[in-house]
Amino acid sequence: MAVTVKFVSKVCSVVLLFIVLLETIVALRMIQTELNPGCDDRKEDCAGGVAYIKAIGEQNTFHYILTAIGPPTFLVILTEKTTKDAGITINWDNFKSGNITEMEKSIKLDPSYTVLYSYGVVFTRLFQYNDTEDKAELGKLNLKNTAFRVFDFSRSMFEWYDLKPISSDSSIKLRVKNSSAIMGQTINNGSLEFKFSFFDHMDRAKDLPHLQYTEDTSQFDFTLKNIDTGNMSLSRFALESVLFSTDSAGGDMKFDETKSIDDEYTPGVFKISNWLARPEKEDQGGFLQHKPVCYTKPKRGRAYGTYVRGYGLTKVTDVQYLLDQSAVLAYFGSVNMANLRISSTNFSFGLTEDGTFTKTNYTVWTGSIGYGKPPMDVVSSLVVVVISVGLGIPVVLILFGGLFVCLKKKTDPLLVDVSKNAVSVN
Amino acid sequence: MSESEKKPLLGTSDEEEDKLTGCGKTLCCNPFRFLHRYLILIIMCFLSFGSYFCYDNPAALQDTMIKDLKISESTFMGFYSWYSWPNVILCFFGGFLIDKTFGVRLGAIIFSLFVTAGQVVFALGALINNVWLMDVGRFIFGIGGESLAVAQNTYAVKWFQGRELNMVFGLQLSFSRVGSTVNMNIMQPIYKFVSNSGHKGYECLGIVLFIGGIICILSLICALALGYFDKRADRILHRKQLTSEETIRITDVKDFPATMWLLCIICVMYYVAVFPFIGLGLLFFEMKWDFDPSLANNVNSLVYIISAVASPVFGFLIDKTGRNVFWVILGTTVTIGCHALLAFTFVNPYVAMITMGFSYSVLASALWPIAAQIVPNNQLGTAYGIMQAIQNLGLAVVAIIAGAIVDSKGYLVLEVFFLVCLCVALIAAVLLYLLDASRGGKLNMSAKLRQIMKEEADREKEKEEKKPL
Repeated sequence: MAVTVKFVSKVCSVVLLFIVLLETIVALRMIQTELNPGCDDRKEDCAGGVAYIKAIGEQNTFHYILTAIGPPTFLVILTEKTTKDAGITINWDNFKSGNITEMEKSIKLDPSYTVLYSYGVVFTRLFQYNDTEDKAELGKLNLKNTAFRVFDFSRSMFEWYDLKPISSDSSIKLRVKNSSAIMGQTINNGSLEFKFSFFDHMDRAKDLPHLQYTEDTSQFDFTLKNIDTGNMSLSRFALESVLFSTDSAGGDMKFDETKSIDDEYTPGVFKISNWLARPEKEDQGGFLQHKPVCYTKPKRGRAYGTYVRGYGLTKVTDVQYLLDQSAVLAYFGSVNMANLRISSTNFSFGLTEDGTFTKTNYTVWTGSIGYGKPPMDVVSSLVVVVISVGLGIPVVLILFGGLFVCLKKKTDPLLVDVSKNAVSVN
Repeated sequence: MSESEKKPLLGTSDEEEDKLTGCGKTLCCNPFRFLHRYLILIIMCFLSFGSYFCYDNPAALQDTMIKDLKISESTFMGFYSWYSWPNVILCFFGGFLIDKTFGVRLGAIIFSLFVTAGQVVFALGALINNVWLMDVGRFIFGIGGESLAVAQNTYAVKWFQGRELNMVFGLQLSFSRVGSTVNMNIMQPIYKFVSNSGHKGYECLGIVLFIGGIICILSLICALALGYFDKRADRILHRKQLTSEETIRITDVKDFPATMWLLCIICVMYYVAVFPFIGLGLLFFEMKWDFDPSLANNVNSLVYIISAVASPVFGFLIDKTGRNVFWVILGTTVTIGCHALLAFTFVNPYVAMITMGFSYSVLASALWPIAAQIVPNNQLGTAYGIMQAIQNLGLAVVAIIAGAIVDSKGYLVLEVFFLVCLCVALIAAVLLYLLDASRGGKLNMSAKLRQIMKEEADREKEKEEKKPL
């Protein structure tokens, strides 16, 4: 009995805690957004534009710089907290020029800030291939027989919409306007888009895969849709991504895939992947987290989920020219950039027998980019409570019932005779 | 209890047996002899073979059917809903009608006719490319199919109660699996053969389904044969005829003992944790263990394959040991372990699914014969009808719930849901044991004790019968 009481009180406390948690969504950071700081859209061409978001907390401040000028780049600078209003200054002409020497240091953070750490992501290339053998894995493709397109997000190849008119304060969109034709095919009219969201509190995303976010992370959606795949009737895509950080260039990043029994937040997905910029000191480094799932319909659901495959990390060599066009160079300068820790990998979308991208002509993939120890899913208390109650009752019943029957058999020897009568009556 | 059971297994010959002449006296035709019972058992197994074979015709021809008839996935699934939903209620009435009006012999024949007619209408619908007519066919087929299973159970009890009943139930289960497996493997080749002979599209499909209907006619013949042999055995063994005051009313159902309802709860709560799970299992194995589709399919079908082989064996063991309620508790507990293994660990699912195959076989062989201990024989059709109806309702409802859970909350929560169902089944099984134990433990008696009691009861009965003489 005492056990039951204790258990009930425990359940109650869990429920209470849950209610308390529900009602206290506390803003832990203050978000300030500036779109195209220092560039007046009405008078001049801001090209793809730059978004600057400050997330000011009690201890420190994150400065997010997001731009579609050059390859799509997301740069995070962690500084000590400052009360000043100061932010970044951009020399737009130099940054837009694309010329390495002019671009150097064309983006500057106000020197009054003490920078603690910086990291970020550059999306460098998009691969398209005709998966006639339904392999859905880059390494297994027969390169001789497979039609392959490479779209690099270089300045000469891609033109992006200005992010300012299509973005809001907490969600920034980098949207493709047009690309040059590769083997007769272009990507245009917003067929490719990166959407970044920023948060001042901790919660879980409303949309599948319901990734957890904190005030120290932001999330991105990568969407491909309405692409005229032309003669590649079994098209699949892969996205090449580069992660960089101000950790020593000598060390290595790490790509971790953790299995979990718990898919309650993302039905049907039992893995979570973390790409760690600073594996030697995880809690003070940047990361890119994702679950290996993307959805092939805008209304995301388990039935439309397919696989996202990550590949081994490599040192960046063949896309150096893309980094040289990016905001990374514009902020760090080429000397400092050479000292960054950089690695890259591909994410390919799709799984054997899923009908390829062409089936729905839509794919959306979500990930989060953050600082500190990546959030991990834990089995919710609801599941724990249901299981303990469900398994507890039969066990109690068997124990007490068994005891009762034993006692009754001992004290009541007539029972056996009764049974005989019962049978013979029938 | 019927009079036949007074006779020892290999009856010492008395005057009734002497009356038999010619072939009727030989080992295989003499209702007193075990061989005759086993031959009847074979016919009994084939009785519902046709309905199990044709039930899964759509699944075996899924791709071709969708292509030939140009129907959507959901229209295709309709062929199964038209079968299952009416049977949430109808097989209860089927069972009741067996008890009240038809008797098991006529009942089995009528329901076999329904099965055959349903399959013919279904095939006709395909032949003229009329999906609406095909749905009607599945509906008629369903009326027959589920009630035929009830008739089969009733036959089994009539011929094998107090003997090899658990084994017989196990064997029937195994035959139902064989029926759907054979169907899964030969329908495609038949389709290819017919399509090679010049018939294309829905016309070909219709012809193939008509060929499937031949198996139904085989089952109909079995029903007729069983009717003949059962009548003959009634005559020779002087089985008791139902008198008018013994016939039942539909309201008698409310007087079924609590143990019967506990049995229903175990039945529905256990089955819903096995079959809807198998329906969703394929993707679970692919996602959680990175199995490729064909391997996942292998793991997923293990429960069916194992139960086809293991259930007669376990039935035989349960016949030898008795203690059915313990076996039910054991089967449920082990299945809980299997689901827990699947839910909370990454242990290779072969382990859990093989074990589940065995525990399911144990449970199915031990569970159904218990009803024959609880309910008098003249209400047995109704009792099995209710069990089947509740099970159908559970399976239909849980299939929807399970789909919704896995879409919104994932497989872990789905497994938790199944664990809760199994826990309810376990609680019901334990209550069944306690309730029964407090009334003398009739249901959980060991086989040995049951034999002794039966002999005692028979002796007393004989005494009473001799008195008036």
